[in-house]
Amino acid sequence: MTDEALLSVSELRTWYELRKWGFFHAGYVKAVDGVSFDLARREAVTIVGESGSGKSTLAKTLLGLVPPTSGEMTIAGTKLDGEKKGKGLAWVRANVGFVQQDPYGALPPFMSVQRILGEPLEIHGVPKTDQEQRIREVLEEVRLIPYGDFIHKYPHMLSGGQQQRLVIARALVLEPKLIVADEPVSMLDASVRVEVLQLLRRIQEQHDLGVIYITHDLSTVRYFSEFAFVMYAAKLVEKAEVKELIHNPLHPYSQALLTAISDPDAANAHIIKEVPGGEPPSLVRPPSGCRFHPRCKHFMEGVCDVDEPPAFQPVAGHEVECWLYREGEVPVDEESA
Amino acid sequence: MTDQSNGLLNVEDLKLHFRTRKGPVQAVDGVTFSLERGPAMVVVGESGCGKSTLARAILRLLPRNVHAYTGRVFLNGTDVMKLGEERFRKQVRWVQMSLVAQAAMNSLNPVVKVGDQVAEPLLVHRKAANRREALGRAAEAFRMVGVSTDFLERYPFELSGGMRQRAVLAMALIANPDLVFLDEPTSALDVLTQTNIMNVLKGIKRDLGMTFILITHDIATSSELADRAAVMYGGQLVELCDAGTFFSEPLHPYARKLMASVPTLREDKALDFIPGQPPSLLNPPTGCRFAERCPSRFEKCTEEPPFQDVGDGRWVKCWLHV
Repeated sequence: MTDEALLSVSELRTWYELRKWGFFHAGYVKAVDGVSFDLARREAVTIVGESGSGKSTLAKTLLGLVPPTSGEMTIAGTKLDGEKKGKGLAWVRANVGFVQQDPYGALPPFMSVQRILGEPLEIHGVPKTDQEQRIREVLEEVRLIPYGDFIHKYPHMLSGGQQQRLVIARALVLEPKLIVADEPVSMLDASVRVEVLQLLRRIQEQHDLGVIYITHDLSTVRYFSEFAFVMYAAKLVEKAEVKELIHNPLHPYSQALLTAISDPDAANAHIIKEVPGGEPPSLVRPPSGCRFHPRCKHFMEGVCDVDEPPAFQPVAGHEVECWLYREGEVPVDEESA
Repeated sequence: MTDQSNGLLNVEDLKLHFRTRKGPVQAVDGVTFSLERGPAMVVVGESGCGKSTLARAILRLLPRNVHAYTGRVFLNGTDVMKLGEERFRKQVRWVQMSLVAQAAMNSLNPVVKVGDQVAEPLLVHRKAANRREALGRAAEAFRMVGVSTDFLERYPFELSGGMRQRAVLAMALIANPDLVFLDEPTSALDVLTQTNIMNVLKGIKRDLGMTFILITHDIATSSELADRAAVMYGGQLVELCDAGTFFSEPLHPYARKLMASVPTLREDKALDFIPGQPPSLLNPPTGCRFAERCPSRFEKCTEEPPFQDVGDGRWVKCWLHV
């Protein structure tokens, strides 16, 4: 990573309190539990995980929508502390853009494109005279052209792909430094998905943006980002460059995830894939030690279920939280052995 | 197409149009195909191409605003379109053909125990003498799809998404139908759960010889089950062929574009996308419905191409392959 960190997150925890009666409560849902990473300008990172792994909560915490329970977040040198109002919050809103998952749900149905894009400008005090210019620029940037055709339309008049581009335009209109995109293409058809991802990629490169792309679909990752983090049960269990992760996954969970993804090939119909059974654990009482141990085929009794594995770095730039890779230990590849 | 004897399902010129205020919507418009017992067929296409409606048209699960519903559907050699509603319900639906509906895991009744819901088709169709026998069969079906039989006595909210999906699958399988429609059976599930369910389906296909029609927009996952592949566009089938040839070299320009837009994990390939919008089914273009977005369009495309056999059991609806 370069020295110029755009976003730096350390030991971030976001816990939701369960049923509260005065001072008493039934426990916490530990949706994000000790997440650390850095992101430089111009870098796109993907966070991959299943539903319930806490990836959306991580996004919400970064956006300041949910206050973190503990930990630190620094964006472009400014330390965030769960601002709830005032200048601090305004600064976060202007500098971190959000691309939501369901474009139709994310756009107010009774507002025209012009008002949807004008509202953030209005709130952040951009003079009226500049507003139209900015709206035009941003619409052209997301290829809603000619912009005159779109400016008076309402969300229902746009197709799914166009709606999602409008959501991206809204995220960009205040010229943020960081974009958080939570499953931006999962609601779109395969034929449009690529178009939207390529658009996002191009905008990211042109404006030197940092992008956090959150998805459960590993197959789109390589087309989008340089780095990928795998999230399982509220933790980032593996961090690596995308190519490295795809060709050399280290964590047993990442390995299972990669096995599970199919490429379109008729041969798939004749093989039964070996994937771990079971379900991701409850985040209220996560398993002791490594959270993947009840499903893991490399489970080592007395090791994996006792202590949480720290991050090991068996390959330079490739971090993994798994006891298989502890210092001085050479992982045995059972297939080749 | 005239030989109905060996095929399990023969669909001829099936049309289902809906009446709307703006005029008829041609959701399924002249679909013809046949399917033998055994091989699983996948139907792929963009949203709004009519693929779910096709399943509903064959199962005769129709909404109220039907404008036109014509064509012939032969199941095991009988023309089921000729049957009356009540006879169709008694003899065909769920007994010979069943459906795993889209977002199936939300289609369970929240206030009825899962076991009772899964066993219900047996009681309705008098395939079990009493509730106890039906529950016994439900337990068998649960084992088949890999859900612990402890869950028979639970309510849907006590099951995870993947479990509920399996329970719905058990319900579709319980009356031992010849043909099961799976409408996006895994699209709301996690990758690992999805693979587990695909494994279950493969096992059932292999062990029980059940025939599946899988309807999906996820081409990569569809290859997990496909023996035959059909591509639907604008309410019509544009290509139908063996999965082996389809995933490697589709013929119809739409199918080619669609395959080129599928991201792959392992291979490096430049991704493509299809410019423009799918046609409105209110006033679909005359001639080829894909012509407007097609890179290899020529004069002839203003006329409607025939859906015809180009050899090796491969059907294409395109003037380039006539």
